[in-house]
Amino acid sequence: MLRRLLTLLLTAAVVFAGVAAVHAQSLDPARRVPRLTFYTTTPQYDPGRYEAALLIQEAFRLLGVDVDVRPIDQPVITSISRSEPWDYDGFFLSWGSQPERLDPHHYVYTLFHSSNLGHLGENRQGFNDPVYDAIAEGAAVSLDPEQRRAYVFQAQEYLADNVVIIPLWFNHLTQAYNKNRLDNVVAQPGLGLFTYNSLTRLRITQGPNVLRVAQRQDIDHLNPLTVVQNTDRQILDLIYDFLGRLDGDEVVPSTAESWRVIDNLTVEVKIRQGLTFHDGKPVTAHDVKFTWDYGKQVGFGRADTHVQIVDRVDLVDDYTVVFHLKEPYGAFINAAFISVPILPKHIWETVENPTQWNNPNPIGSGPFSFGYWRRGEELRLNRFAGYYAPANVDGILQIVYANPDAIVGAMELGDVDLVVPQLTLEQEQLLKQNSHVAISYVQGSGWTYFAYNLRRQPFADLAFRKGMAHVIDTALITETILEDLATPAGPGQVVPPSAGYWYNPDVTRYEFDPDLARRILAEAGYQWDSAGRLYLPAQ
Amino acid sequence: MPLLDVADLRVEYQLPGGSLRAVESVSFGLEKGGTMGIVGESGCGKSTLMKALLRLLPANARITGGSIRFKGQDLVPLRDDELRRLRWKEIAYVPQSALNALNPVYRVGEQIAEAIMVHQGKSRKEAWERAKTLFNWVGLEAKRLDAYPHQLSGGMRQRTMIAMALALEPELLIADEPTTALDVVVQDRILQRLMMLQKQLQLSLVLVTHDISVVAKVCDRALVMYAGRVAELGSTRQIFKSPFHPYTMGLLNAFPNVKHQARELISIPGYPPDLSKPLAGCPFAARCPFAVDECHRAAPPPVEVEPGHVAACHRLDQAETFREAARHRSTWEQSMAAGEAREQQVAAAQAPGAAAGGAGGE
Amino acid sequence: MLAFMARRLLQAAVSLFVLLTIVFFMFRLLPANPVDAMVDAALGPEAIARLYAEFGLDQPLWQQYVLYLKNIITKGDFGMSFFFRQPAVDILADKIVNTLILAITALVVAYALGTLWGALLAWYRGSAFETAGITAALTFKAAPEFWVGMIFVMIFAYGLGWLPHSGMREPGYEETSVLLKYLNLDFLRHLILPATVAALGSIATPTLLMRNTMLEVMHEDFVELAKAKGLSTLRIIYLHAARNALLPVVTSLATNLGRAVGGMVLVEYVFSWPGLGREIVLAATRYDYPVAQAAFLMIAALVMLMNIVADLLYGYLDPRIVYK
Repeated sequence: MLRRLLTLLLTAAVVFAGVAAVHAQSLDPARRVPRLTFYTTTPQYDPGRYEAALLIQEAFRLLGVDVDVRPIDQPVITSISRSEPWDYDGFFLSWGSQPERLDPHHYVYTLFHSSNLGHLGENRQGFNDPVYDAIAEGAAVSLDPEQRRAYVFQAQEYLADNVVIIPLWFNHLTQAYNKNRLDNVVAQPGLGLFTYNSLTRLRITQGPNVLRVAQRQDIDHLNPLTVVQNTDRQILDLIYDFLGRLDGDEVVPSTAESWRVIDNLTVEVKIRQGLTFHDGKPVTAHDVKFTWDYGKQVGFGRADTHVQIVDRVDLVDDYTVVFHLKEPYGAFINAAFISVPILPKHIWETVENPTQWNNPNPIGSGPFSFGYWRRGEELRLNRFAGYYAPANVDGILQIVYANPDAIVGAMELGDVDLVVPQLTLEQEQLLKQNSHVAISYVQGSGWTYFAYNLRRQPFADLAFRKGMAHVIDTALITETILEDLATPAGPGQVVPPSAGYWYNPDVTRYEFDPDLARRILAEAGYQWDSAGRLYLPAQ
Repeated sequence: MPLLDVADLRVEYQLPGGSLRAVESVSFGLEKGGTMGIVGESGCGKSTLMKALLRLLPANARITGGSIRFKGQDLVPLRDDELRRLRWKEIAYVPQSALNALNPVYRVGEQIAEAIMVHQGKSRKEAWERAKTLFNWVGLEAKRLDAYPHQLSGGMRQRTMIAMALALEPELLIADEPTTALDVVVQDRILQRLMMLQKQLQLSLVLVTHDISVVAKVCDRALVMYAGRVAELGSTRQIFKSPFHPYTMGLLNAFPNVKHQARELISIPGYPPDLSKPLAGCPFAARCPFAVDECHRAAPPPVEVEPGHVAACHRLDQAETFREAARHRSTWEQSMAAGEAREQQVAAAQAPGAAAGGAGGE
Repeated sequence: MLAFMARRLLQAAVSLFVLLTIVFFMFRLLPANPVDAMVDAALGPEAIARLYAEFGLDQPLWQQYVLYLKNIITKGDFGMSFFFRQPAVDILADKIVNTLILAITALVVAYALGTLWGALLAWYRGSAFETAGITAALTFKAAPEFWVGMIFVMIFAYGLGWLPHSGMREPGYEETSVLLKYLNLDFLRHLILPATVAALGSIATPTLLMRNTMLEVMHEDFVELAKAKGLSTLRIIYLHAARNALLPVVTSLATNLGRAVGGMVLVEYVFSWPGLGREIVLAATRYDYPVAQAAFLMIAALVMLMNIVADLLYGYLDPRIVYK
């Protein structure tokens, strides 16, 4: 790492010496690349993104571009980056690990298709390219995996070639657990240990048969229609059941017994028989139909896209439904089936004003039933014996600790069996030293990125972006900030490796090469003045 | 043996610039049942003397010599806890301002009862009963016991203080200007009451005042202090009838006297000397119309001019003449002019180049 | 007295109204809103628009304001939390008990000990005891509660294992009656460390305040008279001098108690105490307007109320005071 840093510094020196020869008088001041403003999180909120911004500020210096790094509140970055008039040059944000993100729809279509260019749309960088739109649409509509994969691969290549966004690293999920008490601990790729799969399978070998987990932030509420926080969603995923569940990198039937793709717009689903909700009422096709109908009517928060895409649900019999989509939707099974919880019709049909309700005593059909919630203290789930694949543990007790040191303390003292939040580098180092603690490392399904405003110069120009790609050393940045707790990414690498099937390893890589970067810029007509400052090409 | 025997008492204040001899070699005695008035201008050391008797000197003051024998026991070396046993039970105290001396947050009855409860171990009820009796003695209604200090008039507060002081029927009562803040009529009534109780209870009384007429009314002996020293000490009759010290003569001029209605009211011009500076001669010399060179050179020793009557003056033999001269305003005004001239000389001699300052300390 | 109370309450009501207005607009003028604070949600414009409508954020600002006032005045309704989907008042009510128990315990301990200690420091003015005492008080004031808290956790929880390091109760405790939730040994054990740390952080104020006031009171004639009365030193210090020096200390206790309700954040953070301070910080950082507004209002109301209480206590502590 040190050698790389030295190279970087030496190169910088050489470059500055070389440009000193250019005469300033021939350059029009109006063409000068303006001072850029990059928004990043405060170091308290996320030191990684803050440091990354500083390193990229250095990289821009190699091109002769000055950058102001402004650490601000995360919601403010969100607001600036997606709201009119998109007044920013660059920003640093992150996509977290979510089950449906193992499907490429969000990363390939939602983030880059021109239909999402508007105010509050997710195409924040302003990428507007009809060629790409066609590729993304192909990936979006196809329910045939082979065909879809071809489009998804092509999309990744196109994004890389055009340096549309620079994912800096793929986050890993680093979680600690007590290996003296837990057995059969298997992490779900992309999601980690606090998931349906791991929690139903793991066993407690000694002591009380209740799994104690440490959490940083308490849940807000347990209404699946309005859930936004990931902590809430993780609990809801255990209480409610879904048509399908992620297992490894594939989606397998859960409430569904099987499904059949009839055509691009029609999917038939058979419901597993003998399932019941936690209150003993059976789970039938009526509940499935109700869930989609109801969700379309009142809105479904995070899963809204997945219910709104459905035109209607036909009830074939008590255990069979047919979904008719409004338009082809490739992620319907991979994303919708695993993110729309099946709601018990008999409960929700009587709820007035369901989106203003906190669902204090949620009834689902998942592997764990709701025990109690003592806000700010703890939440208890109980094993639901009526589940088709019941869990091994009697229950889960989620305990809230307000600070990272308390979590380390609780783990060291054996107060908890599992730490849910992603460990920081420091926590990992501390916990590793305990003989009873094991650390689970698994790739997440999110990434941290540097995005820039394609609506403006200099980022509107592909040559500039390519030059820039050659001075941003994502491998060095990742290693400097996170050591081996993340995998370096790069331009266009928007599908996480944990998504296995959809991940294209063969996209254009941009080696760190400042000379090459300057050659690319020079060829495109960029110039430098005697102080080494960059000027845009003459029109 | 006198009840209180003060011998050669000295008190010094430690000040940032050095020490100040506030009480210098004061001696006097008080018999049981006797009443002693200590009189002098403000700053003459009478308050310091009184605080020393009570052992209530502020932290920067120190008894540097002499003894205070109370019933034969010297109070000077006593520790706090030893003193505590004497306090109030044997020696009680009526301060100058009852308003400030009474704790504002407790009912007056409570404050009287406190002394009784603490020293005599009586119950609260008994103590309050006693407080009622005491209020009766000093001429206050029992219901006033429930009042807070600020709810009482100045006279009532002072009576309350006297009642409190008498609570344990002490042998010695030390009163500091007990009636100064009151109007003359109230003042008179309270003094009457105090004298009556003093006789009834066979109290010994030390009364500190700047008002020599109060001494005349209440005390059978008087101590005239000047600049921390005894100027004159004697029976009230002796002092009033035949003062030997010119200062006493001046003091008598400054107050209306029942017997000498015709006499002119003359105050003594000038200021007492600055006690933080060394003093060569008689401290009064600078203001004394009769001062001669000797007076500026050496301090006069106390001399017993008749039995029980002591005065400290170099010119005791001229007392008769001075008494007559002192009755005239002109005598004192001349002395003022002479004194100032002299002070200026002294100042110029001591600090060459320094501007001649105002006259002395405060 | 009644007129005094009425006037004070009216003043408080006007102040609260002004504060409410300022807070209302202050939050809405910030460059982000609660939907922006829904981290990593990727909701899309339609879902966001629906949320705005649910929260009433699609209305013009003045209409939101009028509606807010109307709901408070007519229904006592301070709005629903955007995140908890529960009335903002319920969210705060849940936590205020926890914080009050912590704050009252800490402040009562701090003020009881601080007052006694401060009085002694004044009495023994100029001694080594005084110097050491003041230094100790200032050390605890200057040391961040966060840091003191961590050290206490290190020593008493991790090191000696005497006391729990986090939370209010042993995880997985049996739910009993509301009262018994607080009146049991387990809760007390959890209370000791945070209360001690909070008390240490607050002890300097009463100590120094008491000492300074005492220094003035000690020169009063009534203290001298108390000495002349032959009372014991302790009796003089506490029953006569300290009793008169209490006024500013009592005011400070009352206002601090009002403030402490929102100001225990650091202690709550270190000891994972589910208190109001953390709730307010969370609400403010994610633009949960109804909760944050209600919280600010509640703290302000509490501070004002405690000021009135302090004024009334004055009358009890100093009989010379008359309410006009």
